[in-house]
Amino acid sequence: MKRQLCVFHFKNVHFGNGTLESSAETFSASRLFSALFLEALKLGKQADFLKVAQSADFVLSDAFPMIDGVPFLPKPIGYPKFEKQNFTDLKKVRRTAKTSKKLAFIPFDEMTDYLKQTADLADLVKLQNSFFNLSYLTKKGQDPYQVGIVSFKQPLYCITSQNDLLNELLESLQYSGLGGKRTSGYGSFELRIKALPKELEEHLSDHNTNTLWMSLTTSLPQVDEMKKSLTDENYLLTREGGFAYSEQTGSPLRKQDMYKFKAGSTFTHRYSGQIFDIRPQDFPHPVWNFSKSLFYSLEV
Amino acid sequence: MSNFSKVEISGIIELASGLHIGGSSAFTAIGAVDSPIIKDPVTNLPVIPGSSLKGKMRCLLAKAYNQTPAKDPNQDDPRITRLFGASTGGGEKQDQIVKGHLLFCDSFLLNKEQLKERGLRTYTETKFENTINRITAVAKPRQIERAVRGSQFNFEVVYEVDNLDLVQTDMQIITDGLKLLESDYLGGSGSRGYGKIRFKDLTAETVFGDFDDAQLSQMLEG
Repeated sequence: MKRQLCVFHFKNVHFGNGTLESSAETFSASRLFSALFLEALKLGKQADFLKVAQSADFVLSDAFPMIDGVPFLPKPIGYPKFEKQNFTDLKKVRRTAKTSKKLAFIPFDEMTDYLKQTADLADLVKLQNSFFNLSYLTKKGQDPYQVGIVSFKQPLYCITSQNDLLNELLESLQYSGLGGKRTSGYGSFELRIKALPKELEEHLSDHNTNTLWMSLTTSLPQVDEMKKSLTDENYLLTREGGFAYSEQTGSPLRKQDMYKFKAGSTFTHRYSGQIFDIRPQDFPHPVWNFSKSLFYSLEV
Repeated sequence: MSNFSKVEISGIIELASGLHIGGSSAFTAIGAVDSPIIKDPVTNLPVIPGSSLKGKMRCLLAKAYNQTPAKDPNQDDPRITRLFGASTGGGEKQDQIVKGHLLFCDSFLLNKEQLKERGLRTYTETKFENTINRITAVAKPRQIERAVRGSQFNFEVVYEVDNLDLVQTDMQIITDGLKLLESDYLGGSGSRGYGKIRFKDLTAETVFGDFDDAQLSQMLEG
């Protein structure tokens, strides 16, 4: 399947990351997949969609910012490696390390510079901080609560496969929204579908002979892939959990917790991942968690 | 399920009197207004959160449609929970989630330029008010921020159509809700004249699927 760039123009969203009071500024592929699956259920096309998603060449990436039309990528975890000869000015090294820590996204055309340590880190941090605004909405009354809201100034994008059913679901999802507090006005978006920039497409192709791969999807290898992919790797773990949405069970039940590799983790061996069923015990229907991977080849 | 569609009901909310929807006062400086209103963090203009519209409309409809007063929103009339949702009360055993069929939207200020032309420098006013003690007759002043009269906000609600037999009843409830909102108030201090709103140019448009929206548009106009 050919690939495309889906650009999401959000206004205000709540992407919960564990609590109602906080919000993440992007979303992982499994959040989008679950929203699309629930949308497919409404249209009665869930079986078709699952079949499409389980096919080997179907890809879905996490969402990353697109600032002034330039797609950003996650920071490769563990890179660049600091060479010994660079340790001449220790103060400067510490300062660079701190700035680098604050950096989460890198424009894809500056990735090579970043790996060669020639990119202007302070500039990148400034750019990255300009794409959203975090605020807190306080609901007063007998039972007060707070909602973390992210307001976007720039769009988010993700890489998907080109598929008619997927595009139909995305089209429908615009009016349902993505994220939390959807019925009170958060998470709706305008969608634009664009062609993938050529340079980006080349880095995503399977034919690359480079030895280092960065994952663009928060994903998890299958059990038999685990051992191979966990050699010479740099990763961060992130937890995905919460209540399973269902109109067929009584009280809400918790999904099985999943710990996955964050987007930006780097591996020398790629894995394919799968769509896991994480339904709670004695649950009447499967609860899918999208954990398939998409890799970007890094030139180190 | 071939008749699944999404209908966007849109229009304009015009303020007939100043509107005060309180924001969090965590960041107010000393000397600023005591009770600020909620604003859009990007543009710093007044905003009407979708949650305020949803809550107020549901509360008004509950008074009109509930046979018996409901203690909590989950016990609302089924016609209301069908539109606004409930965390229990669905299914055969009455213990399942009821999915809501309405999606509200934050309302942003539309006529910034027009207000500017009328000579406004800020888009909110500060109203000075007083409390007078009945025994000592001492005044205790307070300041309240309001979005100015004449401000226009966009109004959007997405209605999900999945059962054609229920569209007529659902639409009746929505139009009733909008009428009730016009005769009531939005936001705080409504009994002192705040928060009178008018809906203008209401239309229904099918944005997904192939539902015929002509009849709904007529209902909204009528």
